[in-house]
Amino acid sequence: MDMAPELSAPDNPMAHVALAETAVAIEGLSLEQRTTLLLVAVEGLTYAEAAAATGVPVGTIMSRLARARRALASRMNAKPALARVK
Amino acid sequence: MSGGNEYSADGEDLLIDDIDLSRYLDGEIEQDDRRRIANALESTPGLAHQAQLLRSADIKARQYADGLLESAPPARLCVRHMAAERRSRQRRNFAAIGAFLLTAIVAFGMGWMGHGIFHQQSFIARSFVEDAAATHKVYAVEVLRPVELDAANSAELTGWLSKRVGFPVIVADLTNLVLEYVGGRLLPGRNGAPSAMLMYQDADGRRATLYLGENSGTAPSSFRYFSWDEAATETVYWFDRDIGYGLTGAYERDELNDLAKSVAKAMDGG
Repeated sequence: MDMAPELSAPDNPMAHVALAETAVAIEGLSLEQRTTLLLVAVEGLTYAEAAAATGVPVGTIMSRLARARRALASRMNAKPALARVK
Repeated sequence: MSGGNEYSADGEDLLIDDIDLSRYLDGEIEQDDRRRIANALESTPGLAHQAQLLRSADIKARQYADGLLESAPPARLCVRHMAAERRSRQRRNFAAIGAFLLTAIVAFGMGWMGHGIFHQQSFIARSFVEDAAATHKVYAVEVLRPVELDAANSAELTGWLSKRVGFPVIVADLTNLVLEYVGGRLLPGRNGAPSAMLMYQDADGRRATLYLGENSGTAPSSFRYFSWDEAATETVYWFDRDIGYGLTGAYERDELNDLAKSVAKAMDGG
């Protein structure tokens, strides 16, 4: 589901719904996961920079980021996202 | 290290988890592991689907942040103002609430609470990256006139561009990374200031464009990345000494990263 055009059109009621769904999903992440995801995926920080900014080891950034992505992807996709490969 | 979900790729003994995939997507992985995961992604469609799902989370996060930046003018991004607003408004305005949360969360994490630096910098950086991507989108597909002056007129081009953009424009030699220099052109940049584009091309005709221009107001940064999923391109961008650089192309992040290193080295005087 690509929502970018809708989000840029505030008068479109569907845009509000889409934004609301995204916001609910992101705000449903834990504070640590949300911060890490925003720093890396939105701000483009490297893992080392995100680790320095939040005062945690790089390994923690890695696990928080992976969990945040998985949780958000699962919440934003209607079908289960955990299909096992093979 | 376990990332929660583990997958065994076809023909591979080793398991690949979400952390491995995330590191691969972010280009934060050692060469050997990168190769291993790239092979696994190629041979295992289910794994590629999982990588796509993880990447989709980034798209949502950016849409969320974009929505906040578009709907909240800078004057209202002051934390105190938004805190007051948050108290007085209900959740019907997700943008305002979200803007507060985003600022507060990230600002708190980075020790910038109350200074509004995060959004100001984000906005400038985002605007710069969008210009870099737009430049790539317009000119990378040009067949007849992708550049104003081609590689045969390199000295003339760099002399002209340097004079217009106000800093020395140096063409990086990327032939060891299989990219030939095509040429460049002058472009309108932020706030009407001139900026420049240099174009490179590989043997398959894939092009990478380097967008560069004066960009005061941004703190120096390391390489940062932005994926343009619609066009399957990626931009690596960085700021140094009031100059912004945005290298865009349909390349893997680590490939762009290597190209960017060479560009940065050349611009730094070799």
